[in-house]
Amino acid sequence: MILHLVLLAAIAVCALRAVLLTDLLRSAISLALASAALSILFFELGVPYAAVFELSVGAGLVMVLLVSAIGLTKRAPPENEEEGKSLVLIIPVLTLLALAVIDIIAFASLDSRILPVPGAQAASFEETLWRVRWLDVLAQLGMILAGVFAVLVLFRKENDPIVIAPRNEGSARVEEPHGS
Amino acid sequence: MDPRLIWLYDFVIVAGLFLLGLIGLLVMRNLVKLLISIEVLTKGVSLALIASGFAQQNRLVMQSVVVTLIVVEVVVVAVALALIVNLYRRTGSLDVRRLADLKW
Repeated sequence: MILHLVLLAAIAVCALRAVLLTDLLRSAISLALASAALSILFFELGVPYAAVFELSVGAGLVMVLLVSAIGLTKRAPPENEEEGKSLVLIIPVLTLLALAVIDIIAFASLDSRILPVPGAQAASFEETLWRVRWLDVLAQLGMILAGVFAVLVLFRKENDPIVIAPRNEGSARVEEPHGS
Repeated sequence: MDPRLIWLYDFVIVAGLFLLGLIGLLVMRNLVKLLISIEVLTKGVSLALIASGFAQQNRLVMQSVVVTLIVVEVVVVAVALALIVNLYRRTGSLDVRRLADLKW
């Protein structure tokens, strides 16, 4: 139980740092740490496949993508990041307290409904994923294909024959090198 | 460990993560920070699903749903980052206030 609470606190702190820090790189690293703590929590709760996915994909791949994108950009002037910071610091604390109270009230009202589902642990994870949730697997395949095509279209070159829209003055800036 | 107590503790953090992501989406101006806020929101949803599955002793189904959620999350991040890099090349900035070209 103590490990569980420590992990929950680590997730909360890392997520808070990920949202509130102005440095994008530190923010991405904090998000990866939150994912790593979440994956340990998943292991503790007895869901190892979700934990492995969260650690490898959520903490690893997403961080690599974020750091790569941050590396292609330049640091913004600090005045752009300062707006609304007091709002960011005050409102979450107050609303979190309100949500915690609502959470406890909901917990008390839902107490009788949380019952063990008989036979839910009978099947293995593989059987659950490939037989019960097979439509999710198809949806994952579709999502991955759609993502690959979207990234290919977004990173196509300007002289690619796919381009249909006529060029205007604003698009001339596209060919300028950035981030080097 | 009492599953219902775990559920209670987890959902306090789920509420916090969801709220934090929502506040980030509403307040932040940087596109990458907006994406990170979406990620924080997704972490909250993942934790909510797993905690509910743990409390109801129905972990396998929730585990497969979370695996699907993680795959969708990665695709969203990849496409969003591609969009962000393209927008940065066009505008030279990650500030959402400069993206007013679609307004009329």
